Amino acid sequence: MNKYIMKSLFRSLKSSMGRYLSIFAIIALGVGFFAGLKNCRPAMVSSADGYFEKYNLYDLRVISTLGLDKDDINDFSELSEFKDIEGAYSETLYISSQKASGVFTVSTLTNTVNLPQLLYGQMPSEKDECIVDASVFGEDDIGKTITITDENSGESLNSFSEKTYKITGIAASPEYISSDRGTTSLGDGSVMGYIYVHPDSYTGDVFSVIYLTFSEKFDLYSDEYDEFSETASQKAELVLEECAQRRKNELVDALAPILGQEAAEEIIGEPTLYVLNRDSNTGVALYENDTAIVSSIANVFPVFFVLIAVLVCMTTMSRMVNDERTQIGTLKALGCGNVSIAMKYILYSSSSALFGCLAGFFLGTYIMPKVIWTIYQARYTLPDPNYDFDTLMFFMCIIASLVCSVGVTSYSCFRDLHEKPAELIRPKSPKAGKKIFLEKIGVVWKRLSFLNKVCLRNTFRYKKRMFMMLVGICGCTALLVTGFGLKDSIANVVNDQYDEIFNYNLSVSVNDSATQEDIDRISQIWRDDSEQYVFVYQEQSDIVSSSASKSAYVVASEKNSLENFVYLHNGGEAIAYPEGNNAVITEKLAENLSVEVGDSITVKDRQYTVSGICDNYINNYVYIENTDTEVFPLNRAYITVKSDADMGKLSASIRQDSSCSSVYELETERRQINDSLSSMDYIVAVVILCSGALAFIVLYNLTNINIIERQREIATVKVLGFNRMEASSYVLRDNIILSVIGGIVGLPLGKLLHFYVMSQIQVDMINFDMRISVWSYVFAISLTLIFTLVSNFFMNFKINKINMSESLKSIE
Amino acid sequence: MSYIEVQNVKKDYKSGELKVTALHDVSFQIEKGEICVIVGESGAGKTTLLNILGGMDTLTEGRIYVDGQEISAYNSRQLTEYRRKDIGFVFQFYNLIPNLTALENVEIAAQLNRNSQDAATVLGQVGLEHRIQNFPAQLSGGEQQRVAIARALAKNPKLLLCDEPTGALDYNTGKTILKLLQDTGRNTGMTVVIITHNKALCDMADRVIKIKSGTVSSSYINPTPTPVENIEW
Ligand SMILES: Nc1ncnc2c1ncn2[C@@H]1O[C@H](COP(=O)(O)OP(=O)(O)OP(=O)(O)O)[C@@H](O)[C@H]1O
Ligand SMILES: [Mg+2]
Repeated sequence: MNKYIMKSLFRSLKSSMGRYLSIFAIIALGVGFFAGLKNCRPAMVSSADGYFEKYNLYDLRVISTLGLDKDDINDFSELSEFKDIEGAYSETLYISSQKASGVFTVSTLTNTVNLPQLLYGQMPSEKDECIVDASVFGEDDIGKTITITDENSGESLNSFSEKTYKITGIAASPEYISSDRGTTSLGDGSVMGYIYVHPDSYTGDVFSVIYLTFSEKFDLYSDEYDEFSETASQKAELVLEECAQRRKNELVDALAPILGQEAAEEIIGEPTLYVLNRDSNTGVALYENDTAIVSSIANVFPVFFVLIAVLVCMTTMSRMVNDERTQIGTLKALGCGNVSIAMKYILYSSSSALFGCLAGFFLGTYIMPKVIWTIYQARYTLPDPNYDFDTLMFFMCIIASLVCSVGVTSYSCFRDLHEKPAELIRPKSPKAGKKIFLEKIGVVWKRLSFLNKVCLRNTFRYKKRMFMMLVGICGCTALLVTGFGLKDSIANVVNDQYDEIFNYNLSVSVNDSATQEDIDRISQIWRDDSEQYVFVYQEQSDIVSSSASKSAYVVASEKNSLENFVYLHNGGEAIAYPEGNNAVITEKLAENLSVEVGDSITVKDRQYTVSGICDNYINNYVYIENTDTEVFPLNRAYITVKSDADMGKLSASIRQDSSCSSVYELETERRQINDSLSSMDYIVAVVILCSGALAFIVLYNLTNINIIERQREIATVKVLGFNRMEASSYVLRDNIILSVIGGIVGLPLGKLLHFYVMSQIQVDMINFDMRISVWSYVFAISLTLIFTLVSNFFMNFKINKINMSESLKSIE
Repeated sequence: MSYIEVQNVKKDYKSGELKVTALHDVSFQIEKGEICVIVGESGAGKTTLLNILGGMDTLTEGRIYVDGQEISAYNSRQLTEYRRKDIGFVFQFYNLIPNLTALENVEIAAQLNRNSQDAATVLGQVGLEHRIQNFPAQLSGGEQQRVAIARALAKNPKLLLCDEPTGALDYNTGKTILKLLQDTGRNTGMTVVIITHNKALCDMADRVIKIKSGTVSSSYINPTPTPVENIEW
């Protein structure tokens, strides 16, 4: 008997290859999308991680304005948290070369940490050799020279023994994986690229930066890494303070005999110290955001595909069992057991599911990261993603597809196998007609045209098919709403922040030690170029509520001074600027702290009452009135620069002032964030493609089965004289009705899905607006209908091909 | 020219290399208002002939004229129009649409033409006024065949083509169906073509055409048709 089952299995395989392939394809698609998208973030992260490990990117870098020396390195090496520690000197300088002239970051080469990736040529072996940024220079520049120009200050010129360097190689650097090259106080404030020179050409004896790597290895962007980084930073800060103090004392001691103790101390001043982790590296941080977006999409999308795979598998198998009823009945009559009969169908579906799963898994995990990668590779200099085989995921997929196919098939089989052989041998009588509930509402029903009534009744005739169609179409619309909504929510935030909320375009931070004279002097620099400006206190600080603590920027402004610079509003309504003990906080902060208007929060050990919650998309802010400049020194200027002023030049000249610690051009920030978010366009395109694929698979599969099941009926109406159009619309009109219903149901579902995806996107810097524009809904539902119409268009041919005389010849 | 002129019709079925000649050298005439019975053994080609006559299939060679029009020259659009306006079909297995009530099954045909009869009235004529809200599954075979006849008549066709209309029915039910067809022909003057392999039915016809191995073996006019109720078999 088993031999017979195998034989019949192969015969079924041969005669219904299309059916076998359809299970194969849908499982492959489902698994491919699921595993593939899921695999994207790990593959991208592990590729970056591998790159960083290979070139030993720093985990921390410490900077002191007084410089750092060999003793400091020894102090850091006593901490067990660190493995490789190396100092380097780096400075931004005017450079001229045949290819490009401008400001470059010139750094001394390191041996252990932060190694450049040599793309062409060789590493410098002589004092007067260098390697240069691959984003500026090309292979043909090897052998040419670069020159440190005389525009540079004398001090800077003295730092390096050579003025002219020969280019021996072209390199990429793990420190600069994005296009961001940092800012400078020189020129127009932008840096063109980097240059690594031979360490022997540096004449000074102190380092400007020390790079450190952790002694323990954690996965990039993992929570463990962040935790370790935090403790290591704290320890490093303590050591750095000691080092800086020692350095200061040395310098003072050296100068004191000449200038006197007090004067020497004043000249040397208090050093500013920084312990910076990888988050401060623009490239590393942006890359984390981007991969997070991919992964949150991966969390939502594939669920639909898996659901659809189960449904398609189910309809296909129950159709097959139905088709072979007579055969099953005969076998049963011959005394064949239920299990061995069912075995054929189980083997049939599970083998096709298994092959589909294998094909889908390997293709998906191989292709998906590659596809996603091409979207991102324009913006990052990282190697292609590693092929990341996730064993757990692999077995999960296999088990899921087997359980699904075997389960669904057994269900279809045993439902029929229960019947007596005699019943089985007789064909199942066609599903009897039934009135639908709408007919009870006479008012509605009477108004419908005859064909619409027929169509409605057909729609509700096959409940299972209707349900599946609805799920598929709903899913398609929901995904489209999500996709367009993602774009709405992400694309607009940046513009809203810089157009609606911030009405200034330059922000200058001033040293905490700056006096009133310093402030007066520095504001002279922009007086002519600005329309207005204001000094406020702005600093990052921990904000504490009764239930949580979160870091945010505290902005303390004097009464009535902020109105023209920051527009505090919530939705369309303006919010009163805070006075006294009131504070206005931004939306995401309120959410994180779980406070509402009227609750109290603690800022810098002072109690404030939340008087308003304002819209804000980038970073978190607390706005308060500045009543005490002792606690809240004016350390930040917001400037509205005149539209005809040269922003680059202005910011460069501000940077040169000794009291200025940094200058932020809001336009640059906007561009950077916009660039990073522009990849959303591609993601939306992927979403649209996938939704389309989903809609087609569902519509095609179900309509196909529908047409086969109703072949006789279609032939009959053709004989009655229905023309092409009428015959297709007789069958396909229900698709359109279901698309409309599914589309309408899909809209709110899409909103929910969008809400979920947005809440999954954890980007520290940006508070995305949960917004979906009306157009997105319109596009989503129109596209769904277009998908349906296209699928119907293809189905038309199938209906046309139905041969009347053959279909009606006899009862099958 | 007669109302229906069939001239030298040939029909080949080709499937790949294989060629089956289902009909060859078929010629006959039928006059308007006649009841015509086509008899022949299984596989003789009766259904093929009827399908071609009804515009469901095309022929390979020859000509067919119906009411002066050469339908064998029609393209598929014209054939659809022909089926819609001029032809009523009755099949052995009724081919009712299971999801529509008796009334709706008639309506679906009636709504195709402007000069159709009222669906309920036609169902009354075939004696089913009390079952019009039932679905096919709730009707007996004979009742279903009546619905099918009503559906064919509702369009006021020129030609009523019946392919073994009693093939799936018992003796008595079959008889009443045939009587219905005969009476319809007599009362409305509609041309009725009935296919059967029951030779006894030749007596009810005005004209008999015998088909054997794909061609007309004999055809004759019956000057004294017997009412169906008087025929026994
Ligand atoms: N689609 C087709 N392809 C190939 N051959 C066909 C096709 N349809 C019919 N035939 C052949 O044409 C011949 C006539 O068939 P047809 O159905 O017209 O016979 P019939 O007289 O109606 O028989 P029955 O009384 O059994 O219904 C048969 O030999 C049949 O095999
Ligand atoms: Mg036949």
